[in-house]
Amino acid sequence: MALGVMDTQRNHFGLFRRYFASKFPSHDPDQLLRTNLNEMSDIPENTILRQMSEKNFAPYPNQSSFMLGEWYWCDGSQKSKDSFEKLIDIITSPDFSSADIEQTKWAWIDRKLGSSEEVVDNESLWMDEDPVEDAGWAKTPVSISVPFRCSSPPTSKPTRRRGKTKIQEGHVQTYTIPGFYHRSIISILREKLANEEQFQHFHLEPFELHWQPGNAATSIRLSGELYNSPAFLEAHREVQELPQEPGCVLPRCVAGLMLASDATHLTSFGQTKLWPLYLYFANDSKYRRAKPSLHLCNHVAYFQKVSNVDGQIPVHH
Amino acid sequence: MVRFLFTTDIKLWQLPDEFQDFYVQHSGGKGPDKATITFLNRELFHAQWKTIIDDEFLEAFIHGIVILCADGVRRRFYLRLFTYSADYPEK
Repeated sequence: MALGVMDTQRNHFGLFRRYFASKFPSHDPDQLLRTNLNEMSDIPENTILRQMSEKNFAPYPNQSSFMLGEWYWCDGSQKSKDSFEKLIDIITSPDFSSADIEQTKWAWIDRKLGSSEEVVDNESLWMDEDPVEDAGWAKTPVSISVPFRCSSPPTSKPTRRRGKTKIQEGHVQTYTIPGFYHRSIISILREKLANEEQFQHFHLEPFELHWQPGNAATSIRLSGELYNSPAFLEAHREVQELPQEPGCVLPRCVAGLMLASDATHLTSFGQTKLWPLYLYFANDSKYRRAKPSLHLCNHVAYFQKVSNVDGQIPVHH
Repeated sequence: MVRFLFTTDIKLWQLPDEFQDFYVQHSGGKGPDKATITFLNRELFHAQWKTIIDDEFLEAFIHGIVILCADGVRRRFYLRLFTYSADYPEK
């Protein structure tokens, strides 16, 4: 398929984009920048806060349930006028909605709060939870072959003949690490693209960014984002030119993986050490990736070493 | 207190009893030397990567994977690796 060259209009700053496609993409994350510049700042925006906070009340499904639960557990066991007024404050607060608590499973939550272990519960607590949410962590045994020089069975001593040590063949034993924690990269991608907030910032088509100020005759190519880079454009072109999958005419996109791993100490005093594998998507702007509060860094795995196999692996959220 | 911190840090890199026992049992009494540990850590690292790059990953790499996006459009996504920044803890 021949790809056309499509240039956008120059903007105020003399910037324009060059797409290698037959039409401009309908999905343009950068349009959001005009209306959503404060996302680049660290001052929390109410809508984001609200969206993210729903999850932060776990195991309570929402804020209303949490407010009531907290009042019940944390406000002393004796009823008092003061406590009663607090209850009135809660149910008259604008954040409180009685509809939110209609389906709350109080007994289940109390059990979960009292349990010291991570409860893996098949029963879905959240009424509107996306089925792909939280999916994909696995604990897999990993085996390696360990070579040994001598073939003697354990504890037997090398046999000596005519005063010389007999040269023995090596042997190999399998060593297995019981629990390598890892996550399917596909499930991370699925989860991301199904999430409306994350998807709208996900660049599906790379483009060249050019600068042509004022009366300049030619433009200068700018670099700044992965999805402006020759590598991404090349990958995109390569994918468009692949033979079509049988019967498939769906749009084809590159999901750009950016991996990183770095051993890290968890505590100042303990020996708990982690060697996580992180994943970012090159389709996200660096300005968003660099913002920890947006949670664009995914944990894919926790590597282990033979010299550290007993290291404590924390329970994942 | 500072001394204590250093002590725990050094201990971290010693072999845990479990692997040490395994090695001693099969070697006829000797523990692994430094080069062997480096070799084994590398083997283990690659074995773990093999687990991450499973059949599903390879399928998505070669043939793409169809995913329903939040805008209601199905698209075929091809995984491509752009960067991998890593340390080398065996050094």
